[in-house]
Amino acid sequence: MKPPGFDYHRAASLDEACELLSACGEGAKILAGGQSLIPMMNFRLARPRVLIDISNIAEPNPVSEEPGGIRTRATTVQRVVENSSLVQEKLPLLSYAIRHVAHTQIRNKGTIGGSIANADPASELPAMCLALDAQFELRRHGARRTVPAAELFVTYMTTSLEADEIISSILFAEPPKRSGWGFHELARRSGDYALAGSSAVITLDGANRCTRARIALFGVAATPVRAITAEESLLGQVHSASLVKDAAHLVQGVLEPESDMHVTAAYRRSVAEVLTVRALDDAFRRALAAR
Amino acid sequence: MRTTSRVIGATKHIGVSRKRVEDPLMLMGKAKFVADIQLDGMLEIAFLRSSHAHAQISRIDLEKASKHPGCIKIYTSADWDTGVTTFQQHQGNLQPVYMPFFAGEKVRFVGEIIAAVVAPSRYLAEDIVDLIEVDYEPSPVNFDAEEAMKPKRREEELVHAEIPGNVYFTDRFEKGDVAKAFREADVVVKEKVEAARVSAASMETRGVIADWAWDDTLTVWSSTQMPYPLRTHIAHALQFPEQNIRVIALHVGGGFGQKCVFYPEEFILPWIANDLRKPVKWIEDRREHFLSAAHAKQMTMHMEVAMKKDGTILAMKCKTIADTGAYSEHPFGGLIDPCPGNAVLPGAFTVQNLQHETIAVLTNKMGIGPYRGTGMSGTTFAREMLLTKAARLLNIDIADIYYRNFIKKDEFPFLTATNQTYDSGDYHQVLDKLLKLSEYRKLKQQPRSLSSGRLRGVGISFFVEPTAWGSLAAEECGVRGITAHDTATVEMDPSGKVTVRSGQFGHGQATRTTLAQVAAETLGVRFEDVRVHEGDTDRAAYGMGTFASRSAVIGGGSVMRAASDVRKKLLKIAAHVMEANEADLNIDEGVVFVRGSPDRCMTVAELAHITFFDRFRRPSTDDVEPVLSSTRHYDPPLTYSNGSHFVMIELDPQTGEIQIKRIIAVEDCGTVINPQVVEGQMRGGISQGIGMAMLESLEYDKNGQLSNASFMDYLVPNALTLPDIECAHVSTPSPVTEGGIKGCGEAAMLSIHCAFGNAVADALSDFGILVPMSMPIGPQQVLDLIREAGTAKQ
Repeated sequence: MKPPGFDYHRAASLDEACELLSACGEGAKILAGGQSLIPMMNFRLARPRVLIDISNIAEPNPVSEEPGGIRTRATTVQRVVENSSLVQEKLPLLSYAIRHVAHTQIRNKGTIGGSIANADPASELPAMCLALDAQFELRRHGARRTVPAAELFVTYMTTSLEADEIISSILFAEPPKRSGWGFHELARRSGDYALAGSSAVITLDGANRCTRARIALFGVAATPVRAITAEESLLGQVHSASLVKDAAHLVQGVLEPESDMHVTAAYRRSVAEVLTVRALDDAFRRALAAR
Repeated sequence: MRTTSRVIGATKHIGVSRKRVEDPLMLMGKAKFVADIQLDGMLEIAFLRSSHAHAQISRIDLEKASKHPGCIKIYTSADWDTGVTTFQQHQGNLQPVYMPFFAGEKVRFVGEIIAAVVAPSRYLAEDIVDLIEVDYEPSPVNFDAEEAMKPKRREEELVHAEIPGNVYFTDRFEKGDVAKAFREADVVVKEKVEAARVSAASMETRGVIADWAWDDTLTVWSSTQMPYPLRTHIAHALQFPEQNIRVIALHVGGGFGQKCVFYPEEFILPWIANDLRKPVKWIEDRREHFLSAAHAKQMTMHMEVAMKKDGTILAMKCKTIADTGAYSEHPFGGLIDPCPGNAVLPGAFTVQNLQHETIAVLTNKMGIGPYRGTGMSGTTFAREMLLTKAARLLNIDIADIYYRNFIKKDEFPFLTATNQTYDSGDYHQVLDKLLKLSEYRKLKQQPRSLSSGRLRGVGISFFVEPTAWGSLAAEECGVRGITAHDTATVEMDPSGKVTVRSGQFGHGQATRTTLAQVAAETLGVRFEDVRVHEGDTDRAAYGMGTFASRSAVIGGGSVMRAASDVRKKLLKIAAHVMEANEADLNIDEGVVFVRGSPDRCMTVAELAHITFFDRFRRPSTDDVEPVLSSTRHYDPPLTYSNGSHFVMIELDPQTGEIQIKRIIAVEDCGTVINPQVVEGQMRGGISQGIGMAMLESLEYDKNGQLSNASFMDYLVPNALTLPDIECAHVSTPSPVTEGGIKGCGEAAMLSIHCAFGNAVADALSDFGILVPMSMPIGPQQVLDLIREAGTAKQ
């Protein structure tokens, strides 16, 4: 479990990282927290020719508020976002979800951008991008573009990033007033990748009718998925057990789970629905209590 | 004679929670493990391991690899075509299984060694391994034990051509009239029960360093549990003089039985060091560990229990099929699971009609070796799950089934249905204590369903653990080929301090602490004045090592015997020096004094000094030799510990998730040397037992590839899996061992998983009689059980 040989560059800035990525061409990989890449290299399953290390780039304002939401630099370690008072106040769902990412030690190294770019469908952060209408700022040498969450995740461990592109920051939208959230996942042990997970954000009007809904699931398909049909079934409705049950059943339409050594695909389907009921109930309860 | 003022108190060392002398080094990070050893000019080794589970090797091409600039040498079976054969003595119809150190024409499991690459660093060595080309001609994979036993068309389909049917050992035992008991039974429960393949997964993986020196000596560092037997086996395999070999296991980061196997690497490294005349090092990585460090416990049990209406167990039948992998690991082999497993079937019960059958099967997987509790984990699970089901069918609480069938405290020594002789115990007292501490009866009266929607379940289990693996113990556990006595040397130096050389070797068990307590107690010296040497064949005494709950009894007993000799020698000299009657002398805290007149005293240090250096004061050396040391042997009779576990869980019936809310353990291991150390064993065993019960399973696919060879997918319990574990004790000293000591190391893995399974059945009791019949019990298994109940009702 030692990696094959590789070249190593330490970038002083994102601009330099983009330059290096463009100059090194194929076989170059960005090293951020290294929590997934380094084990893959040790198993010799990943064999990058060049590593461009961005873990030492100190950027100002790792987490900042701007109109429409909270922006986090991609290089920010997960623990900083989790503990940010701004995030805890404006995006409690994000902070709560990050607490389920592995363990403290790993969150002290793993970055927000790294987890998103890795695009493991069972991990929490990609799903949070869907639940919180995230926009990604992507950079390459001499160019930048913005991509919405819905367009980033292509399939298992694959994003729409070009080979020479880097995620530079993520803008998570702050849900409107009178919103509530819910998050439930099931893992074999605390800290493991979820067998299945579901999250919800619900916004209510003055008559407690649902005006906006987001339901994002993970661990149940080749990418994190939003259950838009289920979301739409809630609009204009007030909370009831049957409303939530029926909406949760509609998530089945977007699930394409697989079986593995831990549980079957059927298990994932059944539990994803159960967890969605719980996430929706929590979200409605919090929204009702919100001002 | 100088008098010293002191307090004569009854300073007892045995029974005191002495702080572990091992801990400071561990806590400061100064303990040395194999990977910490650095020698000048040391080279590193990486192995090419088979990527096929079952194949003929038609070609090994080293050309590209040997041209790599870092390549120093590559070894294959062409260089050293030897191996070991099952350690076979007096073991029924066992057919020896030959295990080559390097696979030759054939590979039999994924991970088997094909070549060893020597390079200046492990990184380079792994690069060179990648360049070796091997052509495999795959054969059908023997994936499932019961399938592997079916007739094969061609010889190459067999794991070993010379072993037809892939079965290398069978045994059948019957006592009493089993058929009659089944005819007369009110209830018969019959089930197929399965225990998964697991790994002890110690924190420190295996590792070997070998260093040949110009005086033709060989020093071998290995992360092993048995340094002395390893020395003997290396000497034999390498034809190297044993007195010139030194095996050192300084600190070992966990063994659990997995490291009382002699592995090919432990022979290959010394052989290469001898060939190259350079020190060589190999540290097993975690992937290698999962692939090629002994697996354990995979068995299928076809079990039946016959019961009377009142809960009396009339008879048991169990056919145990052990999937023991491709080789019979040296020295215990795959028999270490099914043989002891069947031997402990009667448990704490008086039942006298019993039949069992053992079948050891070869498959294309890593071999089976010992792991805490061995196959006893599987058969106890089978028995307890059948009793759990019987209890429900008879509408009797399982606690009352225990009470009805217990051996009573005045019935010892008791000969069980499998001919084990239980020495002592008070099972009623132990179970009473557990039920009281846990409020079990009250909890059983309460509804299962909680306001959270979760279901609460409580479960108990009772175990009897065979401990003190000496030769007799091994035989009573169905492993006749093992001779496992031990020795200890106790020496007093001229300053009156004490050195203990033990054949035991602690790797977490704190034998350096507990054996010092035993020596201090027996000699009457201060605990701080005793030092224990172990784990280094140039310093310790020949012994089999630490495994199978044996060290407290055998190590403690041999130290007690040797220390008692030294005490007698010292008192003889003291009687002469102090002009007192030997019978009137006593020793306490390093002071020899005359009973009744404590002011007539001398320190042990003064007496030791006189013994060594003062020829005018000591007795004539013709009468008393001035030697304050003794080496003694001990091969005790088997002694049986017992105890009971309680588990309370909350189960989510919608997801199958289980949270453990409370665990209580009551243990009776006779005389307790150090309660804190015993509780460490209880807690550690419970953690591993819970891992086995709810998480752990090595998953081979049909091609014989191990799907979860990393800690990401092979799930061991973490700190949040377990609640704080509550421990309590009962002590009925053994009448047959030195000091009344019994072992305790494996106890939990004969029981905690059963209590857990029992708790799952209890939590699900509103759905019907649902008893898990396989381990591990994860969320999938829980939902499957509930679904079965739904299907049954329709």
